[in-house]
Amino acid sequence: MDALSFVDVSKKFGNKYALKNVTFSIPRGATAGLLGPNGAGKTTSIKIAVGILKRTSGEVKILNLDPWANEEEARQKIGVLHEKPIYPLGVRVIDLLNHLARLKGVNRRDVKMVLDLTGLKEYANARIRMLSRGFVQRLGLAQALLGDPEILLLDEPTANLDPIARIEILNLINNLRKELSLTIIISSHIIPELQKVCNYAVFIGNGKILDYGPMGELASRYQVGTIFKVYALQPRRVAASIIEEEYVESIEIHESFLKVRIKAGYSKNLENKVIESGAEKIELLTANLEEIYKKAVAYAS
Amino acid sequence: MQVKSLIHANFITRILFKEFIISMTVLSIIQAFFLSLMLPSIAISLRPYSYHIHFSPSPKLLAPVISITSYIYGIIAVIAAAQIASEIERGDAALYLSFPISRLSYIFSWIIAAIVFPSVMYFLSLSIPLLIIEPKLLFGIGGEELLLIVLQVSTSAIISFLAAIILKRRAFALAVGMFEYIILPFIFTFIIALLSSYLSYTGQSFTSSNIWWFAILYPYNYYLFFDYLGVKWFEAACVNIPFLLFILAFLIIYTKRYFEAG
Repeated sequence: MDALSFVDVSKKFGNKYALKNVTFSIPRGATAGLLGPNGAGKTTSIKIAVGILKRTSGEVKILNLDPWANEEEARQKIGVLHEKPIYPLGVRVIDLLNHLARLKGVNRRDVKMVLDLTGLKEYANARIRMLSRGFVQRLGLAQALLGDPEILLLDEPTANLDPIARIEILNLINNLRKELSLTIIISSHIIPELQKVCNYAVFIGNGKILDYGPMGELASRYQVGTIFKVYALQPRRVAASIIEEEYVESIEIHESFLKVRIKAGYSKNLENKVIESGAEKIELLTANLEEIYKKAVAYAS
Repeated sequence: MQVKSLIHANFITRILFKEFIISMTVLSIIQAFFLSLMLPSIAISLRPYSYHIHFSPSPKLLAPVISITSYIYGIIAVIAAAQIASEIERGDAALYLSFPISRLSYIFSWIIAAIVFPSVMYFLSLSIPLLIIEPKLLFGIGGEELLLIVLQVSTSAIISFLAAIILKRRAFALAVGMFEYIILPFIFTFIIALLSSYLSYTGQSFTSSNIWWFAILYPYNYYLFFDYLGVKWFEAACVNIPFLLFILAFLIIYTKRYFEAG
């Protein structure tokens, strides 16, 4: 079952289309990047997925629910961090989270848990206006995590943050991805940030979908180099067996695994070769997202 | 739905509406102060402009006090109703609507916070001092004036509310609400004066049946201004309540079908 699917979705504001015949899907468990320039339709897509904007036409399903018609049921299962979120500034962090927890039907233990998880525990009694931008964004993540959501939708989570806060938030998202088994959908126009956390990508531009899919698939579709993680009991032995292959660009040897960078289109060859050499498991680590995106944009235009 | 509306209404009132609560408290104090000034000879019913003396030979101006405080209470409710537009405009609404509260429950929570809570506060601010001063006076009111005040203020506040969720701009919603609550009654009164002059010019008699439409939006003013024509409070209520229910139904349908918080 898909976590989120858009089928032929359009959204008009007045006479202008913000989304036009958009179709894409994101499978459960993926960490997906919704990538596109400013004004591409990312925020509109997220707001439609949450059910606070009504699509003009098409079909949207989030965890198999229509977010407009079954709004309460759908929102019970999702957590959202909006772009430039607005909070009541005079309210204490704990009071806002307690109120939102009540709306979600979860108890105060859950509030404590998200405060711990996002590093906000010390600021629980602070008024929101006293928080720095980085901590306001942590509050955004904390409220989104209330009630164990199955999908986390993060709209430009690092926008307007200074470099240190940006790194902190990205690390936090990475930790969440590792610790919690949930689907994360991150909208951003900053490619290196998505590169760090995503294994699935949806490219959007001018309200239209350019392409979407798992990173590995996109990499082979657009002939872009990829990096694999190869687990082996004797990594050096496996490395020796593939180092001569012409498609291998670089190898990084670690204690129990290798990081192998290869040219585009040779994934199968590598997979066969390392298994033959005694590797236990091979998994796609990442592909060059910027390269894929550029090729997808060029292909679409 | 109702539970979540109450939870959110409580949050709005408790945390976001501090200024509003202060205004209502000040209003209550003013009201209690005026009422206490009437001691010990307070002895009228609230029937506008016809002070029936129950037990004192010196009637005081209780009805004008209520007219003034109810006017302020109406302005507060209209401003509070328009406040939802600023929440939609700024983006706070998107935060709350990302949680499992339906659009309708969210709108109802604002109605409870902006109309129901102030109405209860207004009622209590009037009835508690009256109960302390002279319980007979409270029972003498009969509740009809209070009902008409609440109906009139609710109508104005819901119009302001509707403007807020359709226009999504606080300034516009406030302009619509204030126009309806403050300016339109003067325009209507002017039209009624013209109508009355025309009828007397043509030799026809001016009766309450010529001006019943005034009660659609302003049931209390209708009852207050045209008491001399023999209008009854329930006539005013019967004209206003269907209209109030109609705009409430329109608000519900609009919210369910079209209201977007983005």
